[in-house]
Amino acid sequence: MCDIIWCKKEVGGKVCDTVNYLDPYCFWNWEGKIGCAECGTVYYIHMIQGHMYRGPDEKPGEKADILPLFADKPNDGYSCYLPGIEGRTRPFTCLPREIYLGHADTVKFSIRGKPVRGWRPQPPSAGVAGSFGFFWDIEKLSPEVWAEYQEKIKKGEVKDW
Amino acid sequence: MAKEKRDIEINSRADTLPLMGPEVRPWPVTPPPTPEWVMDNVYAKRKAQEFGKFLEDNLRLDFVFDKPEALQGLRVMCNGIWQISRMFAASLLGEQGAEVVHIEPPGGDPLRQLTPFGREEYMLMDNVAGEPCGLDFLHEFRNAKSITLNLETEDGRAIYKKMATVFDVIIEAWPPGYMDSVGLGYRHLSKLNPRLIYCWVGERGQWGPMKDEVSKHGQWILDPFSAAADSWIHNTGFPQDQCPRGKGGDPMRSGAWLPSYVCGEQAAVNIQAALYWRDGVSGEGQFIEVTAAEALMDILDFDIGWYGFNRSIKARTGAWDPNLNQYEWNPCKDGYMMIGGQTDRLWYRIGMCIERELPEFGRLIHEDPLLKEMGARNSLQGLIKTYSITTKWLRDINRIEAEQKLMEYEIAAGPVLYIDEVAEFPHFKYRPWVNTIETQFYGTVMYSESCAAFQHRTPARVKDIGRPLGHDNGEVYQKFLGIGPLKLRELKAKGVI
Amino acid sequence: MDEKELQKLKVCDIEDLPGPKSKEELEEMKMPFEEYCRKAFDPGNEFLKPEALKGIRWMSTTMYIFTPHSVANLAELGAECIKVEMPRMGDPMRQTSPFNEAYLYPLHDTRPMTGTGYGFLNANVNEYYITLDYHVPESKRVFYDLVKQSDGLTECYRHGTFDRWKQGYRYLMEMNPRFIYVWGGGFGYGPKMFGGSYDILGQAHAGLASITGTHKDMGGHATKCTNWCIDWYSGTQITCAIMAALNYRLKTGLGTMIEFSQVQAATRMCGYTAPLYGRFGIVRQRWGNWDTQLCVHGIIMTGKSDFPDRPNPQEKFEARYVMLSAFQDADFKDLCDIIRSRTSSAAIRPTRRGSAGRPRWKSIKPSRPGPRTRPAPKW
Ligand SMILES: [Zn+2]
Repeated sequence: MCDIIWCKKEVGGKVCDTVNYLDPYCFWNWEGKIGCAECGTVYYIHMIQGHMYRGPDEKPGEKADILPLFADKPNDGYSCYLPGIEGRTRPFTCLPREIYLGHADTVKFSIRGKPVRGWRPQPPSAGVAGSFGFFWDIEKLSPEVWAEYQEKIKKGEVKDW
Repeated sequence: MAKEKRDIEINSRADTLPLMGPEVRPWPVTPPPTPEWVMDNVYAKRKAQEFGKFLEDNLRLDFVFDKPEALQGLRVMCNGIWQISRMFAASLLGEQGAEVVHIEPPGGDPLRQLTPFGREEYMLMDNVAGEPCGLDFLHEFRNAKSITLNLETEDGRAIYKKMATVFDVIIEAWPPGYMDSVGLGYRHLSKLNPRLIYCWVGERGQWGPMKDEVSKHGQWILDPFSAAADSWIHNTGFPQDQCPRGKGGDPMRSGAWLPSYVCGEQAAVNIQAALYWRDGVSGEGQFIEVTAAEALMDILDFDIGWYGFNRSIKARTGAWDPNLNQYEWNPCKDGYMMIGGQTDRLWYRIGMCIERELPEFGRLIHEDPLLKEMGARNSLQGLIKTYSITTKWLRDINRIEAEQKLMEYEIAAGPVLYIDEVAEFPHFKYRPWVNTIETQFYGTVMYSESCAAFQHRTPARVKDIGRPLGHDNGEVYQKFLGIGPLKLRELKAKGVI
Repeated sequence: MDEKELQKLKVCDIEDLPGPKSKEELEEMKMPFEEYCRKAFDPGNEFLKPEALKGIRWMSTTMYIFTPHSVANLAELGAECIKVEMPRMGDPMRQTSPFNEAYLYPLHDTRPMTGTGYGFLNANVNEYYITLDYHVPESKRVFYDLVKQSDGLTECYRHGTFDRWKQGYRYLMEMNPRFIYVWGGGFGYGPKMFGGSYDILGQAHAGLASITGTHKDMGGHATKCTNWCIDWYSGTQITCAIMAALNYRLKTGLGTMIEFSQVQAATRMCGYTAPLYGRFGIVRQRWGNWDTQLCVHGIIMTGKSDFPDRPNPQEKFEARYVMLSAFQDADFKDLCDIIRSRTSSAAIRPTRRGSAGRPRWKSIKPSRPGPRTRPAPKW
């Protein structure tokens, strides 16, 4: 095993069975101790040019230098630890926002407070693959957003930068 | 090729220089494939012999000089120093057949003196005056004439004014307002020549609060100030999560003068659009300003829209792309291997290629329900998963092996190549893209071929590269202003040219 | 000479001759340059001005960024552009969004649960969007009719695909000799004709990646230039070639075929890389944030962020890099003085040796014998 550590450690009578992914640029040439995201077992690894030169060797009782960015359990419905879960995965610090989602963000208003159709789903009238006219009439088709928009205008939250 | 053995003593760097010229180390080292080979092994495999023959017969670089030039008759004056963007804009027009004249001050453009790490031995001497010329300047000085003119003298300004009346296009790159302050701006020249198309190029602009400035000692702001001003550098480079900060995990400029090239091409497009409007519609010229910063902002993908959407500020992602999976290069045995394929059709083909040798890829990647949807694969966890296992496959193979294996599956994949490998890549030397030219003044020069050279009717072409400073004073001033040799001497003595 | 004879000698009106003709024009000559620029470019009022390419109609049978951008450039200049996509599938960029997070949901979208990714938006501006499935026999006539009414087309299909479908240049030029046909892709005719291409393939294959990023010895890797910039940059170069062809057609009425390879375009911007290798066999490396020809001229990290209290990590942690440029002697000396005044170390001195590596463009001597000095440029 090399670019992943598939942890088979038995903890509490159960096999950990978690895949810890060693992302290529961080670990391409790397030496140190990495902790399993699920059971916390610490492994010593020494990677040279992407190959496991030494390890993974269990280092019971020692502290991990690093955690994986991502880990999952393919035999358990692919349940996973996203980046930045405390004590399990390390955070990805160079993110575009303080919040990482990984799925479509539902935004009704742009940061200027103008309505943006960045939310889903479409209304039931859209059907499976509906086709409409070009203009999305917010007032008629999304009355709740229209109402919210009027509130925003009143509160002065709509800006031109 | 001579296989004769020679004894060589190398005591210093200077002793190695004569061993490296094109005479002793010819290009290409190995000959490119023949058209017959390509016909049988490439076109025939896809039953495209007829189409391939049509392309070869009509687009080959060998035929460019049998064809007309698109911009024949267009006169372009390029006036300025330092900015390579002005030179690229002029090159693009010159390669299409425009008559380009570069105006430099009598002292010459300082770009002529730039050479990597200040090494004079990597400059080329011209065969007239023996003046050294830096390679960046040389490479971008295409199909053009070089004249000198001192715009600080009254006579020089008068000459420039006269020139402006007989030229179609002026590309200018002096600090903001300089040409205007000496009475040679667009508002002055357009009165003399209403058909004049005048284009200023620079980093951030000639007006407004962040306009281009010179330091108190007169130093210009140059590339990549523009890329620093619009988040381009901010989001290039490896994140500190992949590479420690200070050791590669920092914002990064492009190795090339990319902002200048983006600026120059945008200038060339706009000049030609203005020309189309002048010749096809209005008969009037116009004033154009192209800045590298804005030209880059135009091509920042969706960064500006994304910020407006939910305050996201695009972060650097190294050799990965946050929008596409797969679409990256990752390290392999002998360098880096780029792989791309986003749609299901292509993504699974990459996977099949890898899975054949690394069954784990199928187990961990293909079987994961999250990764089955194209959009979802773009998530950070999708990238980490996919690329960790892809690299596990790559670490055992060289770039060429990876390329061959992926080519079997018709995947867009390519190695990260260095220039020696670029120059020897069969396809590149077949067309060729990296080409050599016997120049009038600097011997044989290797250069990057014009990108618009492959055309049916009016291909762009490179006719000469580089010019000693002011070499064409005699010809140009005689041709356009009727200034003869004696008068020229006089002007030279007065420091006008 | 009587009035009639005088009139005969006239070839134009004085009004038509150059020179200020009104008080307004005189004012224009006197106004400060910045004010003049503001008046000339008149930001915010672009729509009051004519469009350079009004009347040009261009078809965009394209995908991704590279070829669409070549058409979007035309559309921005006033051409009428028609983007043709596959029914139900569309341009893959519609499914492309950073970290899968930002989608818009326009009404005409054919995948209501997916939305249109931000990747699609900027590359296809000012266009009409239609769908057409070339595999359906009935689509042929529609396609040909469009060709007859258009000035040109940009396509990005694998080379020869349109030809096989009888809608390549060989067929279209006979239906519309004024047609300008553009194929944009990775490689073009030759051994790798059928190789696909992307922005980063261009960066990798063309040598741009080998000169961008921090050197291996300093812990770095070959670095991608961000924002699909080679796609965009090559797209604009296509537009440049299209503009030349349009200008040629203005004179001759003839169209052409342009075969454009984006990988080549990436090599084109690498400057001295090719001539340095060709003459001296030196293979250019990557030098991080240093400029190899100007010193000091690069990006450095500062000790503090400008916005330590902002929640967004890009502001909180990354707003700490500056572009520093002091490559001319006087500026370099000033920089050294500033650094010296802030540090106790006297190690930094603006000596010749201290500035080794800077191009000595002011003091360079010709290598042939004989006294010959060149006046230093004013700037
Ligand atoms: Zn475990």
